[in-house]
Amino acid sequence: MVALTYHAPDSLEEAVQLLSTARQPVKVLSGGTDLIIQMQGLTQDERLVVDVKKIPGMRAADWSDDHLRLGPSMSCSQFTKRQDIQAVFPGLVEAAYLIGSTQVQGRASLGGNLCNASPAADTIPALIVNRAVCLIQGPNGTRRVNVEDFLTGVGKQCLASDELLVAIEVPKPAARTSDAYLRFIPRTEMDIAVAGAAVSVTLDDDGVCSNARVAIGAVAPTAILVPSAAEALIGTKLDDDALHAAAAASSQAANPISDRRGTVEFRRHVVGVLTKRAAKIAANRVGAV
Amino acid sequence: MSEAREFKHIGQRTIRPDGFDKVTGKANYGADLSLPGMIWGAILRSPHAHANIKKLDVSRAQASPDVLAIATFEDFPSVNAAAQRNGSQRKDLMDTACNIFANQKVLYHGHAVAAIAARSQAAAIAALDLIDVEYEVLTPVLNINDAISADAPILHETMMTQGLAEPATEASNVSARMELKKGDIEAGFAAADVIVERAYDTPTVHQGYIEPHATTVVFNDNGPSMIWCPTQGHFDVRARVAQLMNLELGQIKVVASEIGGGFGGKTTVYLEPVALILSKKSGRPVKMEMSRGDVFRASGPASASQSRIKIGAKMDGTITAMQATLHYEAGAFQGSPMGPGCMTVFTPYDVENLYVEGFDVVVNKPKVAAYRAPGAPQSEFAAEMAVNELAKKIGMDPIEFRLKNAAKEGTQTIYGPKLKVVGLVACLEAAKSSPHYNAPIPENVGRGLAAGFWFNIGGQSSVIINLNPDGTGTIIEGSPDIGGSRASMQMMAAEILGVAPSSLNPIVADTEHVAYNQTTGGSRTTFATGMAVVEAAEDIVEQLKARAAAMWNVTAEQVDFTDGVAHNLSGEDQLTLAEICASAEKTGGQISGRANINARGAGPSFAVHICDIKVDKETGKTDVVRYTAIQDAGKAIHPSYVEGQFQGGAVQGIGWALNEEYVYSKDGIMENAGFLDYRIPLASDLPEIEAIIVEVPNSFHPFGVRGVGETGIIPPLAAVGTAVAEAIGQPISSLPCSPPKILKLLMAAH
Amino acid sequence: MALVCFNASLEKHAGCANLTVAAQNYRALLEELTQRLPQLTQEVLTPLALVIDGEIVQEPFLADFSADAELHFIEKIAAG
Repeated sequence: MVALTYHAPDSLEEAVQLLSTARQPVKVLSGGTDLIIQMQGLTQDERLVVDVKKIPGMRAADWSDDHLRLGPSMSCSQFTKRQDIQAVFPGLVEAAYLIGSTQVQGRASLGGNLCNASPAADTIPALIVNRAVCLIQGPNGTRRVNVEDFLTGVGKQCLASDELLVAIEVPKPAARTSDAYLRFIPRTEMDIAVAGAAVSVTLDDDGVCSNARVAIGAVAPTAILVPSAAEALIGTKLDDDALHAAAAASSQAANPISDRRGTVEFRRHVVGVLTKRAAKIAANRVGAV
Repeated sequence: MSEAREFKHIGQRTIRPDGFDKVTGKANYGADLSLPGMIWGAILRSPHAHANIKKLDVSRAQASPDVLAIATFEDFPSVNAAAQRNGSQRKDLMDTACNIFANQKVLYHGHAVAAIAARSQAAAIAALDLIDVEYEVLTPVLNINDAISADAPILHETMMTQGLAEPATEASNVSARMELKKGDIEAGFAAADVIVERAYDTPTVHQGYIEPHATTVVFNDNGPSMIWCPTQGHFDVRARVAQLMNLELGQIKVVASEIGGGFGGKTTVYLEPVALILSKKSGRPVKMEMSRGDVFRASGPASASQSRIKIGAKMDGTITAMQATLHYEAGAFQGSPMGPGCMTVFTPYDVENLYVEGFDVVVNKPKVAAYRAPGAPQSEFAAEMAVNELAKKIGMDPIEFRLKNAAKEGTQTIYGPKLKVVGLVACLEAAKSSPHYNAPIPENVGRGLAAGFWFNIGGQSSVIINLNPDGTGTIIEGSPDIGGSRASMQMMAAEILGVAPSSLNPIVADTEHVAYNQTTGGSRTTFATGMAVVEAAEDIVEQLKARAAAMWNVTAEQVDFTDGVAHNLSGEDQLTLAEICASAEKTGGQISGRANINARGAGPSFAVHICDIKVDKETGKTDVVRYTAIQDAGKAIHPSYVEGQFQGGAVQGIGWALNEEYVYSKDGIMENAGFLDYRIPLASDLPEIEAIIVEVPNSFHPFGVRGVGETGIIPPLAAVGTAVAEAIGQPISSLPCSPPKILKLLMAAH
Repeated sequence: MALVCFNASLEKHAGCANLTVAAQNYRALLEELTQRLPQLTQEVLTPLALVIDGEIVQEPFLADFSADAELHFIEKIAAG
């Protein structure tokens, strides 16, 4: 029979203590929109569930001088309501807005989306292009890992069994920078990305792209940063040739599989289209600032 | 019914009697009944698509204190004896039994192998691990081409193709061949100026009803056993379970719960006989539920199909010949809707020369069940696509082309009868003058139009209407309400009795409280059960007249009954229905009306749909931007629910055409058994479906009703397919028009 | 005399596309057909519906028809 032990610690220290001393496999719970479904199939194994969302700060989002510090358990619906965040990271907010449905977003969290490490997670490419950093606490202290390095495989990240993601830091972007995220699904909502692309661009006063980052999702075991696509944009005015080159670079970098949601050829092509379109949207957003 | 009539209630948009309980969560569905002492059943399902069961050992389960009962195929009484007793077809009954529990061989991924009952659902599921099954895995047969190839593994060693010119001598995966013809097909093609010949295919799709199958069953040794379940036909659940278990009909009572969608998929039994076996063995009430995955893997989806269509026409638009070869997947056991597919394929057209050949093919997928106009969406999709292509080649508007060849009263159908008065021309004219068809086609948008035909059926219905002493009453019917039919019954009875519809409470009684009713299906309920309601109400009117006559001491012939009031034709006296009921005690007791009929004269319904689709040329994504559904209802009793049927049919057909399909691995494992990856359209995916009701009355029904539930799912497949083809400038031959497929077509054309 | 028309499948049993019958009800029709066309057995005919002048009668056991009726046997329509 299922033997499920549930703890909801009040502090990070207590949480890490629970993780490091558990005898049974541990699952960290925030909103549970992935975890509870994954646990439905389990009938035999023992499980310790550590609910971290009641720890102070885990659901907060605060600005400091140079970054936004995000509590990993903050729900997508709280996050997407924050106009101060949307003004700076519209692409990241739109990525969170695409997850599941209105109901799911009431529980689903950014940290959960990240730690669940689905190749198709919507917020991860948007976090990567914004240079987000994971703050990880373990029994021996904290460490910092860039989001693109945090993910190690399908459903896998670099957290040790006694470590906890305690914050996501997103640096404040340079002036005249904006971002965008697009995903492809055959319907309008309630679906999982068949391909996704996030782009962040910085434009100089002449409209020339001085910096860019491109990350793509659902086309490889993890979301990946695509420097070659960014390079295709930098130094251009994002004309059709540059966009086309960025699209080709994303398609080139993609390493997708064929499954029930799409084919290799389809994903490879569409991730390029999304890259191109997201770059345009991000650039338009800079203009609108 | 020849001339227009004035109605008081019919044609109004009353509030449905079941609505309040449904929106407030009070209505009880299949999984809502729990009983004292109840335990749970769970089913062990095959992980393989095709395998011999080498060993099925339940001894470990039997030894477990958690396990209260076990059931397998061995628990069915002799199918031979049962078939003999019930006069049912042995083969058919055997197939049903073998679908409910695999008999030495599993034939699809998810095929039930054994069941266990335990104190909780979790305990029952956990105990399934105690059943030991050894499989010898066989190569699965997953599509029509594989199934009919010369070296195909044979699913059933005794299956010989029926209907061949020469009797079959070898086992085959083709269970039957059917042939229909009219005129001289060769001469027809010889007379044609233009010929279109194309092949089309459609995928396995599911009805996608929101409520999974569920049942609670109490076995009773000393009276009828009780089965509670959501079903379109509780009398047929009773009959099927009785046949399978070799019981008399009187030994089973079936209660139809509220039903969360059926669309044809809830017309057979899966869990009910299993729960009855488990209840009998354990002595406890047993509840069983399918998960959504079980529903996809192991209920009855609709056939995948392959069609070859050839149509010839003269340059003036006269179609001279139409020919079809149709293959339908039946799933693991024979019996696809290939027959009606063949009969409907060309029925919208009045053409001299026709030839249709159909094949029923078994594959390692779940046995198909009915799905709205079973068989017709697949074949008519192919025919309508080819018709549109031909119209384009000739340079004719698709409506004009259809008007030139439209089936009408007197048209000789390929399946036999000449059509009576039908509404296809009226639907085409309505399409021609619709705002949608007259709106310009926006940029990057393709427009498609298609017609559809379905027979509709009548059949057996039984109704009792009881009046109360205050003049209110109860309509006791036996047709499960899957589309607002209770509201229609109220309105039809109210029209005859001259009372407010809300004063008559319609209930769907269990199998003990009303005589046999055929399953709700074939678009029959508002037509046939409605006819029985009218007859029962008329029975009451005669009694009311007699009672009023008794009050006035005149003969019944001297009493007129109009709009709920009896008038003494020999005087000034009047009595309302309520007053007559109030005095019923004095005039011979309370008043009931009754009708038991086998309705004839069901009127076919034709439809024409128009669809505008925008395609993202860089990704292949489709977007339905406008959609209009036009259909002949004969007479719309409750227009809102008629429109609801048109819209629901359109939406399901659009899903079939755009993104729905069963995805199998090469080993026959279904990979998208859930609504996340089995992509039915969402509310946000579609525009409001514009519904236009055409009314060409059916003369056989007292109010002119034609069934409307099924035809609406037929035209969308070709309307969508043609709209996509127009948008991308490439022919469409395969559904669904999913983005990867469309993008491939676009890239190939580049 | 009523006219009975056979579809392609029944024609194989009947050996003709149509024939006229003296019968004016279903039971007499069955008797007459099975006598005149021995290949056309009760087993073949009784599962079928009868179409009388374009009206599909799913259960024709008690059906009558006129002397100039046109009759077809078709598969019973089951439906969703």
